[in-house]
Amino acid sequence: MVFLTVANWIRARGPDEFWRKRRIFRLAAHYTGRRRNCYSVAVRNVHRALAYATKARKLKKEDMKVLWDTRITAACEQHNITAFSLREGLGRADIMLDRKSLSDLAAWEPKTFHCLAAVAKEKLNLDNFIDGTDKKEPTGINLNLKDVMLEAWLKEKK
Amino acid sequence: MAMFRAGLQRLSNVFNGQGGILSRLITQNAPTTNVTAPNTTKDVIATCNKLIEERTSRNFAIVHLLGKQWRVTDGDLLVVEGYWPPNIGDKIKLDKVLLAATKDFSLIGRPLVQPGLVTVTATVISKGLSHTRTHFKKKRRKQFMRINFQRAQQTMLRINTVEIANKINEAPKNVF
Amino acid sequence: MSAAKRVQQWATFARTWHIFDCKWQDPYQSAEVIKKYLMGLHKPIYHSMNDCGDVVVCINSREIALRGNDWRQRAYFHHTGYPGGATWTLAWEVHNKDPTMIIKKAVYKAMRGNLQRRHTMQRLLIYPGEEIPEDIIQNVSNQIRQLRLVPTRLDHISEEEVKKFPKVMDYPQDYVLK
Repeated sequence: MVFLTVANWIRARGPDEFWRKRRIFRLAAHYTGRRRNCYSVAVRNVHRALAYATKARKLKKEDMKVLWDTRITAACEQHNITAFSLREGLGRADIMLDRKSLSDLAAWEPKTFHCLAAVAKEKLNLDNFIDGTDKKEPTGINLNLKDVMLEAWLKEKK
Repeated sequence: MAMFRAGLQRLSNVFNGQGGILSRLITQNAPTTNVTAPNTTKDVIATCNKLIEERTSRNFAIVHLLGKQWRVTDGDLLVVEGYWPPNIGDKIKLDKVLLAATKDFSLIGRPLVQPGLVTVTATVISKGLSHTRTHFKKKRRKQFMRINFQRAQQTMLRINTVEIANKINEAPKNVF
Repeated sequence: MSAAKRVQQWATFARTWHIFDCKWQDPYQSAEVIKKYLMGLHKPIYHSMNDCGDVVVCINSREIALRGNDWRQRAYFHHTGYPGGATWTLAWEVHNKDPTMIIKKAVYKAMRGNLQRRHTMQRLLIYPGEEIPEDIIQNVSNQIRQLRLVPTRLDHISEEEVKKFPKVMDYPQDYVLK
């Protein structure tokens, strides 16, 4: 709402109301339809959006944590170690990397992550720590091709 | 103080006890390095030291800075939030290095790598404020509405170098 | 983006084709595993907004195993939208009608209901038997491990082997087998 024509100022009913509404309209400038043009609708939407934005600052941090955990779990699976025992092993070896850096390493520096997984495994091995989780399906680097019958199956079909 | 586990790609296979005959059964996604498989810890450290001398590839490090961990390499920009004394133009050394690595090997600190082994230098290039964060609360039908605005202090850092300054398992050069 | 980087990008986000043999597997437990591969949850580059999911080919879906008396008890609900349009179909009826339906519904149910779900389901291919079109089998490069071993049935073991197997006792001549 920027008035360039003087004639438009006639309808403006007073300084306060104009500026109060303008504040809301500026925040609603990128909306569509009545949401941007009609004050009573715009103000409701702007208030809701601001309240969401306030809450989302906290939620974003929680979401990132979940995402990092997912990535670490995925990377651990490739090295046949559970995410829990990785953290346990690294903790016992006094390696204080947090979720963020671990998932960063998992995605961008897989070789370093491989070393970390090996260190965690070795440390747990030295401590005689037994991870009770049943690792049913090792994949990736520790996948034993002997157990995967794909080739035999393919040969059988041909 | 700090023990190092310098792990090569091949070394971790030795950890797993899956070298030799079973190596056919290991599917490796990463291309194997051209470094021959070292057998003992001494060999590993000697190989790493040779690589450090040659400076074949660029390094990265994970540094601890203001309660957060950052993965940095040469030329990175960091934005640090909150009150932090250094001023524009200050050159600083980030001492809390949790991990440093190159293409071929990783130095993992427990929890920090040996002081003087890895130097991460940075320059403060700007200080300022973040965008305005609106803190808005409203309760329906309760005549309750609060609005506050906040801006956090931000410091921008340029990472100048991440380099492994010293050899592994050697006394640190007296830089102080 | 340089040519080498571009190729790296393609390689990173290339789809892998996995095969899963549903023979004697619990569809609801396998759905959790299949879901992981379909959504790309097994990759460290996972993000809900990036398209890193893989393709899963399920074979032998006719020979899935349900637990307990699920075949008789589990009912699948459908509503036509009209009044009185609700139907409940038992699992064995559904399975007779379409042998791929149960595993499909199990995977669909295992994923969260969002806009991605239907697109992700497109990447799940289910075949009732072992016959797969040639153009699909040649893409497959990995097998997902089955959750449990397929038991060997007595009537599948050859008669000679059964006879050779040491017996503790023989049934008496006048013993009436039920």
